[in-house]
Amino acid sequence: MQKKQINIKINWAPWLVLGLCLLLWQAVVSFGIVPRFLLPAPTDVVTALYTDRALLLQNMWITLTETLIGLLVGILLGIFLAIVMDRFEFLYRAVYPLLVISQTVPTVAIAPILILWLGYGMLPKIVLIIVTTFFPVAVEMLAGFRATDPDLLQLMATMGATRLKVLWFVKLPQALDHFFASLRIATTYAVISAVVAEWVGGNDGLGVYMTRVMKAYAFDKMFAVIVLITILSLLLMGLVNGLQRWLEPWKRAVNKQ
Amino acid sequence: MSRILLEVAHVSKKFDQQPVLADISLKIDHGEIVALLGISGSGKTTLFNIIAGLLACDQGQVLLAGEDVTGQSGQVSYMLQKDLLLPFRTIAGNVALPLLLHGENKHAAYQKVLPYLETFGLAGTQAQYPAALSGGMRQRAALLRTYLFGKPLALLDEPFSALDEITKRNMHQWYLDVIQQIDLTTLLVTHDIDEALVLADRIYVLAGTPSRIATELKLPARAQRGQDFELTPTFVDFKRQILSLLAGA
Repeated sequence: MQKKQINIKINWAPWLVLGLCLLLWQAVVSFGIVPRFLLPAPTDVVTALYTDRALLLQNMWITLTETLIGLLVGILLGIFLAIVMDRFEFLYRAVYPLLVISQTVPTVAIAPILILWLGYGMLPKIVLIIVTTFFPVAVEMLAGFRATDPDLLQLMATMGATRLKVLWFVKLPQALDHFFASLRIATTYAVISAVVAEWVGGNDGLGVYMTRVMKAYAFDKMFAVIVLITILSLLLMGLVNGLQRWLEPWKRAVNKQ
Repeated sequence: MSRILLEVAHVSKKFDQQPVLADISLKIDHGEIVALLGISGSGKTTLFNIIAGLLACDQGQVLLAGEDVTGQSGQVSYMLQKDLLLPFRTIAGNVALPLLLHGENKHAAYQKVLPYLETFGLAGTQAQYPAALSGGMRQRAALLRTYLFGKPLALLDEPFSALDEITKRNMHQWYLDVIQQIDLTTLLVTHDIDEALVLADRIYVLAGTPSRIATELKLPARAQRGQDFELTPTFVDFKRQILSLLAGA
Protein backbone atom coordinates (compact mmCIF):
# COMPACT_ATOMS: atom_id res chain seq x y z
CA MET A 1 0.00 0.00 0.00
CA GLN A 2 2.80 2.38 0.95
CA LYS A 3 4.90 1.48 -2.08
CA LYS A 4 2.21 2.09 -4.65
CA GLN A 5 3.49 3.97 -7.66
CA ILE A 6 2.43 7.59 -7.60
CA ASN A 7 0.64 8.45 -10.79
CA ILE A 8 2.51 11.33 -12.38
CA LYS A 9 0.67 13.24 -15.06
CA ILE A 10 2.88 15.32 -17.29
CA ASN A 11 1.34 18.43 -18.74
CA TRP A 12 2.50 18.46 -22.36
CA ALA A 13 0.89 21.77 -23.35
CA PRO A 14 3.75 24.12 -22.31
CA TRP A 15 6.29 21.86 -24.05
CA LEU A 16 4.27 22.07 -27.22
CA VAL A 17 4.16 25.87 -27.05
CA LEU A 18 7.89 25.99 -26.32
CA GLY A 19 8.59 23.72 -29.30
CA LEU A 20 6.51 25.90 -31.61
CA CYS A 21 8.30 29.06 -30.43
CA LEU A 22 11.69 27.46 -31.05
CA LEU A 23 10.59 26.37 -34.52
CA LEU A 24 9.35 29.87 -35.34
CA TRP A 25 12.59 31.35 -34.02
CA GLN A 26 14.65 28.92 -36.11
CA ALA A 27 12.59 29.76 -39.21
CA VAL A 28 12.92 33.52 -38.72
CA VAL A 29 16.71 33.23 -38.63
CA SER A 30 17.10 30.50 -41.28
CA PHE A 31 15.05 32.43 -43.83
CA GLY A 32 17.15 35.52 -43.18
CA ILE A 33 14.30 37.66 -41.82
CA VAL A 34 16.54 38.70 -38.93
CA PRO A 35 20.33 38.80 -39.55
CA ARG A 36 22.19 35.98 -37.87
CA PHE A 37 24.76 38.19 -36.11
CA LEU A 38 21.95 39.92 -34.20
CA LEU A 39 19.84 36.87 -33.39
CA PRO A 40 21.47 33.42 -33.42
CA ALA A 41 19.25 30.46 -34.31
CA PRO A 42 18.44 27.90 -31.59
CA THR A 43 20.77 25.49 -33.34
CA ASP A 44 23.59 28.08 -33.09
CA VAL A 45 22.92 28.36 -29.35
CA VAL A 46 23.14 24.59 -28.93
CA THR A 47 26.37 24.55 -30.94
CA ALA A 48 27.80 27.33 -28.73
CA LEU A 49 26.77 25.39 -25.62
CA TYR A 50 28.61 22.36 -26.94
CA THR A 51 31.81 23.97 -28.23
CA ASP A 52 32.26 26.12 -25.10
CA ARG A 53 31.16 23.37 -22.71
CA ALA A 54 34.43 23.11 -20.79
CA LEU A 55 34.55 26.84 -20.06
CA LEU A 56 30.82 27.00 -19.33
CA LEU A 57 30.91 24.07 -16.91
CA GLN A 58 33.92 25.50 -15.10
CA ASN A 59 32.18 28.85 -14.66
CA MET A 60 28.88 27.20 -13.79
CA TRP A 61 30.59 25.29 -11.03
CA ILE A 62 31.78 28.57 -9.48
CA THR A 63 28.33 30.17 -9.74
CA LEU A 64 26.67 27.06 -8.34
CA THR A 65 29.07 26.94 -5.39
CA GLU A 66 28.40 30.60 -4.57
CA THR A 67 24.66 30.06 -4.90
CA LEU A 68 24.55 27.00 -2.65
CA ILE A 69 26.77 28.44 0.08
CA GLY A 70 24.96 31.79 0.03
CA LEU A 71 21.55 30.13 0.00
CA LEU A 72 22.41 27.81 2.86
CA VAL A 73 23.75 30.60 5.06
CA GLY A 74 20.83 32.86 4.05
CA ILE A 75 18.31 30.15 4.99
CA LEU A 76 19.96 29.49 8.35
CA LEU A 77 20.12 33.21 9.10
CA GLY A 78 16.47 33.62 8.05
CA ILE A 79 15.31 30.75 10.26
CA PHE A 80 17.36 32.02 13.17
CA LEU A 81 15.90 35.52 12.84
CA ALA A 82 12.38 34.11 12.62
CA ILE A 83 12.93 32.07 15.77
CA VAL A 84 14.28 34.97 17.83
CA MET A 85 11.64 37.38 16.51
CA ASP A 86 8.97 34.86 17.42
CA ARG A 87 10.45 34.35 20.86
CA PHE A 88 11.17 37.99 21.78
CA GLU A 89 8.35 40.35 20.99
CA PHE A 90 10.54 43.43 21.45
CA LEU A 91 13.02 42.13 18.88
CA TYR A 92 10.14 41.61 16.50
CA ARG A 93 8.99 45.18 16.99
CA ALA A 94 12.51 46.55 16.75
CA VAL A 95 13.94 44.50 13.90
CA TYR A 96 11.05 43.58 11.62
CA PRO A 97 10.39 47.10 10.23
CA LEU A 98 14.09 47.56 9.61
CA LEU A 99 14.22 44.27 7.73
CA VAL A 100 11.39 45.40 5.49
CA ILE A 101 13.09 48.73 4.81
CA SER A 102 16.39 47.00 4.10
CA GLN A 103 14.70 45.14 1.27
CA THR A 104 13.96 48.34 -0.63
CA VAL A 105 17.68 48.79 -1.26
CA PRO A 106 18.34 47.38 -4.75
CA THR A 107 20.83 44.52 -4.81
CA VAL A 108 22.45 45.89 -7.97
CA ALA A 109 23.37 48.98 -5.96
CA ILE A 110 25.01 47.09 -3.11
CA ALA A 111 26.94 44.70 -5.33
CA PRO A 112 29.68 47.21 -6.33
CA ILE A 113 30.21 48.22 -2.69
CA LEU A 114 30.56 44.59 -1.66
CA ILE A 115 33.05 44.00 -4.47
CA LEU A 116 35.12 47.01 -3.41
CA TRP A 117 35.09 45.86 0.20
CA LEU A 118 35.53 42.15 -0.26
CA GLY A 119 37.46 41.79 -3.53
CA TYR A 120 36.89 39.88 -6.73
CA GLY A 121 36.58 36.41 -5.24
CA MET A 122 33.56 34.40 -4.15
CA LEU A 123 32.99 36.19 -0.84
CA PRO A 124 31.15 39.33 -2.08
CA LYS A 125 28.85 37.14 -4.22
CA ILE A 126 28.06 34.91 -1.27
CA VAL A 127 27.37 37.92 0.94
CA LEU A 128 25.03 39.42 -1.66
CA ILE A 129 23.13 36.13 -1.90
CA ILE A 130 22.80 35.99 1.89
CA VAL A 131 21.51 39.56 1.96
CA THR A 132 18.84 38.81 -0.65
CA THR A 133 17.75 35.37 0.54
CA PHE A 134 17.47 35.60 4.32
CA PHE A 135 14.59 38.05 4.12
CA PRO A 136 11.91 35.95 2.40
CA VAL A 137 12.85 33.00 4.60
CA ALA A 138 12.67 35.03 7.83
CA VAL A 139 9.35 36.64 6.95
CA GLU A 140 7.65 33.44 5.84
CA MET A 141 8.95 31.34 8.72
CA LEU A 142 7.73 33.95 11.16
CA ALA A 143 4.31 33.91 9.51
CA GLY A 144 4.33 30.12 9.84
CA PHE A 145 5.24 30.26 13.53
CA ARG A 146 2.56 32.83 14.21
CA ALA A 147 -0.13 30.79 12.48
CA THR A 148 -0.01 28.22 15.29
CA ASP A 149 -3.37 27.69 16.97
CA PRO A 150 -3.17 29.36 20.42
CA ASP A 151 -5.29 26.52 21.89
CA LEU A 152 -2.65 24.10 20.69
CA LEU A 153 0.12 26.15 22.29
CA GLN A 154 -1.83 26.20 25.54
CA LEU A 155 -2.34 22.45 25.40
CA MET A 156 1.37 21.93 24.78
CA ALA A 157 2.19 24.19 27.70
CA THR A 158 -0.09 22.27 30.06
CA MET A 159 1.54 19.05 28.91
CA GLY A 160 4.78 20.51 30.21
CA ALA A 161 6.41 21.37 26.87
CA THR A 162 9.30 23.82 27.07
CA ARG A 163 9.61 26.55 24.44
CA LEU A 164 12.29 24.54 22.70
CA LYS A 165 10.06 21.48 22.53
CA VAL A 166 7.13 23.51 21.26
CA LEU A 167 9.43 24.81 18.55
CA TRP A 168 10.62 21.34 17.64
CA PHE A 169 7.34 19.42 17.86
CA VAL A 170 4.91 22.05 16.67
CA LYS A 171 6.19 25.29 15.23
CA LEU A 172 8.98 24.12 12.94
CA PRO A 173 7.05 21.30 11.24
CA GLN A 174 4.02 23.54 11.00
CA ALA A 175 6.03 26.27 9.28
CA LEU A 176 7.42 23.88 6.64
CA ASP A 177 4.88 24.92 4.02
CA HIS A 178 5.77 28.56 4.55
CA PHE A 179 9.43 27.64 4.50
CA PHE A 180 9.24 25.95 1.12
CA ALA A 181 7.22 28.80 -0.35
CA SER A 182 10.01 31.16 0.73
CA LEU A 183 12.72 28.76 -0.41
CA ARG A 184 11.38 28.84 -3.97
CA ILE A 185 11.65 32.63 -3.97
CA ALA A 186 15.03 32.55 -2.26
CA THR A 187 16.43 30.04 -4.77
CA THR A 188 15.61 32.18 -7.80
CA TYR A 189 16.89 35.28 -5.98
CA ALA A 190 20.12 33.44 -5.16
CA VAL A 191 20.96 32.53 -8.76
CA ILE A 192 20.11 36.03 -9.97
CA SER A 193 22.18 37.65 -7.21
CA ALA A 194 25.17 35.45 -8.00
CA VAL A 195 25.08 36.40 -11.67
CA VAL A 196 24.53 40.11 -10.95
CA ALA A 197 27.43 40.19 -8.51
CA GLU A 198 29.64 38.47 -11.08
CA TRP A 199 28.68 41.04 -13.70
CA VAL A 200 29.79 43.86 -11.46
CA GLY A 201 33.18 42.37 -10.87
CA GLY A 202 34.88 39.03 -10.58
CA ASN A 203 37.30 36.55 -12.07
CA ASP A 204 35.07 33.53 -12.63
CA GLY A 205 31.44 32.57 -12.88
CA LEU A 206 28.66 32.63 -15.45
CA GLY A 207 28.13 36.37 -14.93
CA VAL A 208 31.78 37.06 -15.72
CA TYR A 209 31.59 34.80 -18.77
CA MET A 210 28.51 36.71 -19.87
CA THR A 211 30.19 40.12 -19.71
CA ARG A 212 33.15 38.76 -21.68
CA VAL A 213 31.09 37.30 -24.52
CA MET A 214 28.99 40.46 -24.56
CA LYS A 215 32.08 42.56 -25.20
CA ALA A 216 32.90 40.17 -28.06
CA TYR A 217 29.36 40.55 -29.50
CA ALA A 218 29.10 36.73 -29.39
CA PHE A 219 25.30 36.55 -29.31
CA ASP A 220 25.22 32.78 -29.63
CA LYS A 221 27.34 32.44 -26.48
CA MET A 222 25.23 35.01 -24.64
CA PHE A 223 22.12 33.00 -25.37
CA ALA A 224 23.96 29.82 -24.42
CA VAL A 225 24.78 31.18 -20.98
CA ILE A 226 21.19 32.38 -20.48
CA VAL A 227 19.96 28.88 -21.30
CA LEU A 228 22.48 27.43 -18.87
CA ILE A 229 21.43 29.78 -16.03
CA THR A 230 17.79 28.89 -16.67
CA ILE A 231 18.58 25.18 -16.52
CA LEU A 232 20.54 25.73 -13.31
CA SER A 233 17.57 27.54 -11.71
CA LEU A 234 15.18 24.82 -12.85
CA LEU A 235 17.41 22.10 -11.42
CA LEU A 236 17.60 23.91 -8.08
CA MET A 237 13.80 24.29 -8.08
CA GLY A 238 13.48 20.58 -8.73
CA LEU A 239 15.78 19.95 -5.80
CA VAL A 240 13.57 22.13 -3.58
CA ASN A 241 10.45 20.24 -4.68
CA GLY A 242 12.13 16.91 -3.99
CA LEU A 243 13.23 18.10 -0.58
CA GLN A 244 9.68 19.18 0.22
CA ARG A 245 8.25 15.81 -0.77
CA TRP A 246 10.83 14.11 1.41
CA LEU A 247 10.25 16.35 4.44
CA GLU A 248 6.45 16.40 4.24
CA PRO A 249 5.48 12.72 4.06
CA TRP A 250 2.00 13.45 5.42
CA LYS A 251 1.16 15.39 2.26
CA ARG A 252 1.80 12.32 0.13
CA ALA A 253 -0.21 10.13 2.47
CA VAL A 254 -3.19 12.47 2.26
CA ASN A 255 -2.99 12.88 -1.49
CA LYS A 256 -3.20 9.14 -1.94
CA GLN A 257 -6.64 9.04 -0.33
CA MET B 1 -9.15 8.26 52.65
CA SER B 2 -11.48 10.62 50.96
CA ARG B 3 -12.95 9.55 47.63
CA ILE B 4 -13.14 13.14 46.47
CA LEU B 5 -10.77 13.82 43.56
CA LEU B 6 -11.74 17.35 42.58
CA GLU B 7 -13.32 19.97 44.71
CA VAL B 8 -14.24 23.42 43.46
CA ALA B 9 -15.00 25.67 46.42
CA HIS B 10 -16.84 29.00 46.15
CA VAL B 11 -15.30 30.06 42.86
CA SER B 12 -16.32 33.44 41.47
CA LYS B 13 -15.16 35.26 38.37
CA LYS B 14 -15.79 38.66 36.87
CA PHE B 15 -14.93 39.95 33.41
CA ASP B 16 -14.72 43.76 33.26
CA GLN B 17 -16.76 44.17 36.46
CA GLN B 18 -19.38 41.86 34.95
CA PRO B 19 -19.84 38.80 37.21
CA VAL B 20 -19.85 35.60 35.17
CA LEU B 21 -19.58 32.91 37.81
CA ALA B 22 -20.94 33.31 41.32
CA ASP B 23 -20.00 31.06 44.20
CA ILE B 24 -19.58 27.83 42.24
CA SER B 25 -18.95 24.74 44.36
CA LEU B 26 -18.81 21.19 43.13
CA LYS B 27 -17.20 17.86 43.96
CA ILE B 28 -16.19 14.91 41.87
CA ASP B 29 -15.39 11.48 43.26
CA HIS B 30 -12.78 9.10 41.92
CA GLY B 31 -13.97 7.24 38.83
CA GLU B 32 -17.10 9.33 38.38
CA ILE B 33 -18.33 10.94 35.19
CA VAL B 34 -19.78 14.30 36.10
CA ALA B 35 -21.39 16.63 33.61
CA LEU B 36 -21.46 20.39 33.87
CA LEU B 37 -24.45 21.47 31.84
CA GLY B 38 -25.22 25.00 30.73
CA ILE B 39 -26.32 27.01 27.73
CA SER B 40 -23.83 28.86 25.54
CA GLY B 41 -22.41 31.88 27.32
CA SER B 42 -23.16 30.46 30.76
CA GLY B 43 -19.50 30.53 31.72
CA LYS B 44 -18.97 26.78 31.30
CA THR B 45 -15.73 27.26 29.46
CA THR B 46 -14.62 29.93 31.94
CA LEU B 47 -15.08 27.43 34.74
CA PHE B 48 -13.33 24.78 32.64
CA ASN B 49 -10.35 27.10 32.19
CA ILE B 50 -10.27 27.93 35.91
CA ILE B 51 -10.21 24.23 36.83
CA ALA B 52 -7.56 23.55 34.17
CA GLY B 53 -5.50 26.38 35.69
CA LEU B 54 -5.51 28.36 32.46
CA LEU B 55 -7.42 31.25 33.98
CA ALA B 56 -7.23 32.83 37.42
CA CYS B 57 -10.42 33.10 39.46
CA ASP B 58 -11.31 36.11 41.61
CA GLN B 59 -12.37 34.10 44.62
CA GLY B 60 -12.43 30.48 45.65
CA GLN B 61 -10.24 27.43 45.40
CA VAL B 62 -9.67 24.44 43.20
CA LEU B 63 -8.57 21.36 45.16
CA LEU B 64 -7.24 18.24 43.50
CA ALA B 65 -7.02 15.22 45.78
CA GLY B 66 -7.12 17.64 48.71
CA GLU B 67 -4.31 19.81 47.43
CA ASP B 68 -4.79 23.44 46.47
CA VAL B 69 -4.03 23.70 42.74
CA THR B 70 -5.80 27.01 42.09
CA GLY B 71 -4.19 28.72 39.10
CA GLN B 72 -1.79 25.85 38.39
CA SER B 73 -1.90 24.39 34.90
CA GLY B 74 -0.72 20.91 33.99
CA GLN B 75 -2.47 19.27 36.96
CA VAL B 76 -5.37 17.86 34.97
CA SER B 77 -5.59 16.72 31.36
CA TYR B 78 -8.11 18.32 29.08
CA MET B 79 -9.58 18.00 25.65
CA LEU B 80 -11.50 20.45 23.51
CA GLN B 81 -14.07 20.20 20.76
CA LYS B 82 -11.25 20.62 18.23
CA ASP B 83 -9.08 17.52 18.32
CA LEU B 84 -5.86 19.61 18.07
CA LEU B 85 -4.03 16.67 16.53
CA LEU B 86 -0.87 17.68 14.70
CA PRO B 87 -1.51 17.05 10.98
CA PHE B 88 2.17 16.34 10.34
CA ARG B 89 2.52 13.60 12.95
CA THR B 90 1.22 10.07 12.62
CA ILE B 91 -1.49 8.89 15.00
CA ALA B 92 1.13 7.09 17.10
CA GLY B 93 3.24 10.27 17.04
CA ASN B 94 0.32 12.41 18.15
CA VAL B 95 -0.88 10.10 20.86
CA ALA B 96 2.63 9.56 22.23
CA LEU B 97 3.25 13.30 22.43
CA PRO B 98 2.75 13.61 26.21
CA LEU B 99 5.27 10.79 26.71
CA LEU B 100 7.77 12.32 24.30
CA LEU B 101 7.43 15.68 26.04
CA HIS B 102 8.37 13.99 29.28
CA GLY B 103 11.62 12.89 27.73
CA GLU B 104 10.76 9.32 26.86
CA ASN B 105 12.54 8.10 23.75
CA LYS B 106 10.56 7.69 20.59
CA HIS B 107 10.78 3.92 20.30
CA ALA B 108 9.75 3.23 23.89
CA ALA B 109 6.91 5.73 23.69
CA TYR B 110 5.52 4.22 20.47
CA GLN B 111 5.72 0.72 21.97
CA LYS B 112 3.81 1.89 25.00
CA VAL B 113 1.13 3.48 22.89
CA LEU B 114 0.30 0.47 20.68
CA PRO B 115 -1.86 -1.55 23.11
CA TYR B 116 -3.84 1.59 23.99
CA LEU B 117 -4.58 2.21 20.33
CA GLU B 118 -6.31 -1.14 20.36
CA THR B 119 -8.31 -0.31 23.50
CA PHE B 120 -9.36 2.99 21.94
CA GLY B 121 -10.49 1.36 18.71
CA LEU B 122 -7.60 2.74 16.72
CA ALA B 123 -5.73 -0.49 15.99
CA GLY B 124 -3.76 -0.30 12.75
CA THR B 125 -3.89 3.48 12.46
CA GLN B 126 -0.54 4.16 14.14
CA ALA B 127 1.28 4.99 10.90
CA GLN B 128 -1.59 7.00 9.41
CA TYR B 129 -1.93 10.76 9.52
CA PRO B 130 -4.92 12.45 11.20
CA ALA B 131 -6.33 13.68 7.86
CA ALA B 132 -6.92 10.05 6.86
CA LEU B 133 -9.16 9.37 9.87
CA SER B 134 -12.85 10.03 10.42
CA GLY B 135 -14.01 12.67 12.91
CA GLY B 136 -14.90 10.05 15.50
CA MET B 137 -11.52 8.36 15.22
CA ARG B 138 -9.73 11.66 15.53
CA GLN B 139 -11.64 12.46 18.71
CA ARG B 140 -10.71 9.04 20.08
CA ALA B 141 -7.06 9.70 19.26
CA ALA B 142 -7.30 13.10 20.98
CA LEU B 143 -8.89 11.41 23.98
CA LEU B 144 -6.14 8.82 24.12
CA ARG B 145 -3.54 11.58 24.04
CA THR B 146 -5.43 13.27 26.90
CA TYR B 147 -5.44 10.00 28.83
CA LEU B 148 -1.73 9.34 28.24
CA PHE B 149 -0.96 12.70 29.77
CA GLY B 150 -1.37 10.55 32.87
CA LYS B 151 -3.43 12.84 35.09
CA PRO B 152 -6.28 11.25 37.07
CA LEU B 153 -8.87 13.85 36.03
CA ALA B 154 -9.83 14.56 32.43
CA LEU B 155 -11.73 17.72 31.58
CA LEU B 156 -13.67 17.40 28.35
CA ASP B 157 -15.08 20.59 26.82
CA GLU B 158 -17.87 19.59 24.42
CA PRO B 159 -15.67 16.83 23.04
CA PHE B 160 -18.30 15.28 20.78
CA SER B 161 -20.31 18.29 19.65
CA ALA B 162 -18.59 18.60 16.28
CA LEU B 163 -19.63 15.06 15.35
CA ASP B 164 -22.79 14.04 13.52
CA GLU B 165 -25.68 12.57 15.51
CA ILE B 166 -25.01 8.89 14.83
CA THR B 167 -21.25 9.13 15.32
CA LYS B 168 -21.90 11.03 18.53
CA ARG B 169 -24.18 8.27 19.86
CA ASN B 170 -21.59 5.64 18.99
CA MET B 171 -18.92 7.70 20.70
CA HIS B 172 -21.05 7.94 23.86
CA GLN B 173 -21.44 4.17 23.99
CA TRP B 174 -17.78 3.71 23.23
CA TYR B 175 -16.75 6.15 25.94
CA LEU B 176 -18.80 4.33 28.57
CA ASP B 177 -17.16 1.07 27.51
CA VAL B 178 -13.61 2.36 27.46
CA ILE B 179 -13.92 4.19 30.76
CA GLN B 180 -14.47 0.80 32.45
CA GLN B 181 -11.11 -0.41 31.16
CA ILE B 182 -9.07 2.61 32.18
CA ASP B 183 -8.82 4.51 35.40
CA LEU B 184 -10.10 7.96 34.64
CA THR B 185 -12.37 10.48 36.28
CA THR B 186 -14.24 12.76 33.91
CA LEU B 187 -15.66 16.23 34.11
CA LEU B 188 -17.69 16.73 30.97
CA VAL B 189 -18.60 20.28 30.05
CA THR B 190 -21.52 20.34 27.61
CA HIS B 191 -24.64 22.15 26.43
CA ASP B 192 -26.17 18.91 25.19
CA ILE B 193 -28.79 17.69 27.70
CA ASP B 194 -29.08 14.23 26.16
CA GLU B 195 -25.32 13.80 26.16
CA ALA B 196 -25.12 14.73 29.84
CA LEU B 197 -27.94 12.34 30.74
CA VAL B 198 -26.44 9.46 28.76
CA LEU B 199 -22.86 9.82 29.93
CA ALA B 200 -22.92 11.25 33.43
CA ASP B 201 -23.37 9.76 36.87
CA ARG B 202 -24.20 13.22 38.19
CA ILE B 203 -25.06 16.50 36.53
CA TYR B 204 -24.48 20.03 37.73
CA VAL B 205 -26.73 22.51 35.97
CA LEU B 206 -25.35 26.02 35.53
CA ALA B 207 -27.98 28.73 35.17
CA GLY B 208 -28.67 32.38 35.90
CA THR B 209 -26.72 35.61 35.43
CA PRO B 210 -24.14 35.38 36.84
CA SER B 211 -24.11 31.61 36.62
CA ARG B 212 -24.67 29.57 39.73
CA ILE B 213 -25.09 25.87 40.27
CA ALA B 214 -28.87 25.75 39.88
CA THR B 215 -29.15 22.12 40.83
CA GLU B 216 -27.29 18.87 41.18
CA LEU B 217 -28.92 15.78 39.75
CA LYS B 218 -27.97 12.24 40.65
CA LEU B 219 -28.83 9.81 37.90
CA PRO B 220 -29.75 6.17 38.48
CA ALA B 221 -26.83 3.74 38.62
CA ARG B 222 -25.73 2.64 35.20
CA ALA B 223 -26.70 -1.00 35.79
CA GLN B 224 -30.31 0.04 36.47
CA ARG B 225 -30.69 2.18 33.38
CA GLY B 226 -31.34 -0.59 30.92
CA GLN B 227 -30.93 -0.69 27.17
CA ASP B 228 -33.00 2.26 26.02
CA PHE B 229 -32.56 4.67 28.87
CA GLU B 230 -33.08 7.60 26.53
CA LEU B 231 -36.61 6.43 25.79
CA THR B 232 -37.74 5.90 29.39
CA PRO B 233 -40.02 8.21 31.40
CA THR B 234 -37.22 8.65 33.97
CA PHE B 235 -34.99 10.13 31.28
CA VAL B 236 -37.75 12.42 30.04
CA ASP B 237 -38.48 13.59 33.60
CA PHE B 238 -34.83 14.52 34.10
CA LYS B 239 -34.79 16.31 30.76
CA ARG B 240 -37.96 18.25 31.58
CA GLN B 241 -36.49 19.31 34.91
CA ILE B 242 -33.26 20.52 33.28
CA LEU B 243 -35.09 22.31 30.49
CA SER B 244 -37.24 24.25 32.93
CA LEU B 245 -34.15 25.29 34.89
CA LEU B 246 -32.29 26.42 31.78
CA ALA B 247 -35.30 28.14 30.26
CA GLY B 248 -36.03 29.98 33.53
CA ALA B 249 -32.57 31.48 33.46
